[in-house]
Amino acid sequence: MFNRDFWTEIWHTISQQKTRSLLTAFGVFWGTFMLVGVVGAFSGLNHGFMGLFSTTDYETLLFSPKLTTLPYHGMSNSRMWSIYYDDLEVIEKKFSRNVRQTGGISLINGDKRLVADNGKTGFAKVQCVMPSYFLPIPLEMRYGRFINDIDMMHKRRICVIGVNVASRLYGENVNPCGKQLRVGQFSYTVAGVIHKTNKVVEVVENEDELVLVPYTTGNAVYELEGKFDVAYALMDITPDLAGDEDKLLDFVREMHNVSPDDEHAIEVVSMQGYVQQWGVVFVGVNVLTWVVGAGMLIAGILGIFNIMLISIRERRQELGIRLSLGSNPRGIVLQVVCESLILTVSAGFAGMAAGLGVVTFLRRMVESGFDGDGFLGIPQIPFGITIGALLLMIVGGALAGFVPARKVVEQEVVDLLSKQE
Amino acid sequence: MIDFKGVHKTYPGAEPLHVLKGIDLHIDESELVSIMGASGSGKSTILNIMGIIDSYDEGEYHLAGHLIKGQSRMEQSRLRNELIGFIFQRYNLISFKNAMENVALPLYYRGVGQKERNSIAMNYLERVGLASHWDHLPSQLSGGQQQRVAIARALAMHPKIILADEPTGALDSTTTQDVMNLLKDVNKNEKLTMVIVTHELSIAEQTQRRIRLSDGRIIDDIRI
Repeated sequence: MFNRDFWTEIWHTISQQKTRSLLTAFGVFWGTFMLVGVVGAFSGLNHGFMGLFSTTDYETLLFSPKLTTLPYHGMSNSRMWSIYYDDLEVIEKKFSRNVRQTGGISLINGDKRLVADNGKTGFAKVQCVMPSYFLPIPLEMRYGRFINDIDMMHKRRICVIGVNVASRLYGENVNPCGKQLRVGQFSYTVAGVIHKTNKVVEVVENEDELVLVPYTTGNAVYELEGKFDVAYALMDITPDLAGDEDKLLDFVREMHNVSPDDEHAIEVVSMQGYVQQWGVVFVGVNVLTWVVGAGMLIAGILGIFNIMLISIRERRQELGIRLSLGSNPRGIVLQVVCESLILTVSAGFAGMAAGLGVVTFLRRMVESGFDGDGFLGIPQIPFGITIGALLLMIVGGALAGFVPARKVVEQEVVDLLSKQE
Repeated sequence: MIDFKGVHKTYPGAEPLHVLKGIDLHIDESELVSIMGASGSGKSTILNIMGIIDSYDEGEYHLAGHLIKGQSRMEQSRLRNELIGFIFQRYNLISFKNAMENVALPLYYRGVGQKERNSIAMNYLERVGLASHWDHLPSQLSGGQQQRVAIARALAMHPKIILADEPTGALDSTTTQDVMNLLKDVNKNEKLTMVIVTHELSIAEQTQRRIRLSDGRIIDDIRI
């Protein structure tokens, strides 16, 4: 049954001992605030990274030819070899059971002078790509469309430009589609504007700064001889197809008389490998989050124990007086535990609210797009864990009151009244 | 009311201190008794055992017919609350409670409602001449005033026994006599048993029964 007098007495003791009460409460407040704040903030970082590397059911294998380091089939080492446009068809045929798509990229050497039809000029690199370029590279269309099969077939003089190039030539938030753009000696019609959504993955250059043209067009005007700087293959990664990536690379080596043992003659980037590498970072971030969060929680609980211990020690005489006036030991312990609980619960909730406030603020910041590169995701609070932590603090607070109070009331009242321990 | 039979008390330590060496003492209701003795003679220890705020090792102590040894702490608390009012040399008021709240505190432990206990507390503060100081914290009161609050607190419980340990030890001579007059008045009007531990002869001389202790033994027990 609710005993108003009991709670009034507790409130009186708490409110009259402001410094002591505030010190006790602050430990709990800080513990829960930091736990919620740190876990929430880290969850944003984690979600951000996870968003950048969302797992797929296919592997994107990017490979590019490099100087050979071993002689093979009568060929000397230090030989530069190439991957050709025609190779893609052979690869697709050979690995038809699990290669979904292939493609290639060629970067034209040197910056090209750009002249827009509004008279503005600039410089950018030109990259010849295929319609499947969208698959390995995380891009989004700002305006217009990407290069398609018809562009490839007819070697159309169209281009897709990076968002930064578009801003510099045509201004922010201006759709340049349909306008003519002179790139070096050649003119193209702007078909679209792209924006790179993942700044971490960079295969050749930052697409926001590039002019992309259909590979077949580029091959004709820049005399690429059908060569790629980088080729790619999108492959299924079901368990029964494990190891096919290596077989594909061996096949490419074999096609071009490169030793199967020449690891350096072909540079390989595996997107799944990328995800796995970053997965280690996620695990590290997660571990760090929990180490910091748990550290804060433990510090908070130890803080309550410490302050309650000091508080009870300071209150020895007061408790002795109460006992001498007829309070029973159980009542004293209950009162101290309730005082501790009131402080821990209220401070715990306040800390949680403050932590949630910080996380909400961060959430709004992320949603407003302040983080241009998109490294931060939406921060979230693991609610169950936070409530669990709060409960732990409350139990800790109750124990922090109970243990020293019980120790005190087990002593002779006269010893408590003597002030000295 | 108070009955000691062969009570011994030893404080443990590297060199155990045998403070009470077989105390036999009987105090009746309404008696005004003083206990005198040099420092370390055991006079405060007797008072603490009487008030059940300290334990004893051997012998028997009956308080109002209750054998104290073997009682639970809960039962001891109940007896303290119902039978005993303490007055300490250093007043032992709770520093963050005002005069009225200090006086009302034992009534809270007895389960008296807030309004009633505040009213009782105000009556007793009036009786000790401090009604106008009811909202003063102990730090805002003089030594004599604090002791009067402590007396009001002891009386407010309507105890059967008042145990006073050097109640005037921290007071000047004028205030000492004021406090003594108040205690004698209470003893006379309320018919309370009152035991005063003192080292001042002038205080002891104002009581009806004077007990002298030396080295843990009663060496004198004079009724006037």
